Amino acid sequence: MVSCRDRAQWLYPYLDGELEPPMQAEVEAHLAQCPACRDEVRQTAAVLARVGTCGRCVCAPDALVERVRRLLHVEPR
Amino acid sequence: MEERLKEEAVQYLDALYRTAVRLTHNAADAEDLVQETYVRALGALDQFEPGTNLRAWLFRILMNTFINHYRRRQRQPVATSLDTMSDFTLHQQRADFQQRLPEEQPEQAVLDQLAVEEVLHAIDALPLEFRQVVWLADVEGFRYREIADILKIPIGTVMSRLHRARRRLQDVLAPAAAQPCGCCGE
Repeated sequence: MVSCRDRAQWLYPYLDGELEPPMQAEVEAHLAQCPACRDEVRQTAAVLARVGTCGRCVCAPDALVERVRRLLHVEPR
Repeated sequence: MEERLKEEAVQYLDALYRTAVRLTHNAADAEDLVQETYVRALGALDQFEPGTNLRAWLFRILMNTFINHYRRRQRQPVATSLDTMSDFTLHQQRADFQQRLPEEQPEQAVLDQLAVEEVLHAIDALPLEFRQVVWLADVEGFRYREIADILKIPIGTVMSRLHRARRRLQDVLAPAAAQPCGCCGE
């Protein structure tokens, strides 16, 4: 039975889509009736999404792209 | 490397480079690491199983190359083990960040204002073992099983490191304090 007390066990696997379907359904049933856990899920998802967005802002320098393309004999686009 | 694989491999340059920067904390080392990764991939092509995940395979080579050849000579190591990040550092980061938060703003709007540098700094401050898993999961979008294969660690270790890494990031970055639970008060 999913509860607020064991949130630490299910929160991240739930957000990552890594729970087994029966557990996923249990968590969703719990979230449907628990505003505090819904809040926690929403806040956590927002932070993790921001981490992903910021992390992906960095691109490879042109010189490196050129070197790797030459290494692999891949034509420039 | 056959043409199709080469074309696909080049598509992962940005992802491999940004990962290398977070590992080495140094742009020049990151470029060397990525180039070395592609050299090794070319040399080990006969070990790549067609139909499997080329991106995960390249990440595995990148991580191996980093651990074996770059980790010891990092020019500016931020943290060297799971336990070296002091509470003071965490509290200082949180205090610095919270001083700049307008209290009345909705949390998403505040999060959206988090500068890229601020988020990257928080990631860089994590010990390497935490930084690897949180980066592979939250930035590169790998599944737990893929991360376990890339880092050659048990899936349970992936989950526990990811849990601790995210808690630390949330402690630094999340503007809202944890709310007491409506169901049980915890």
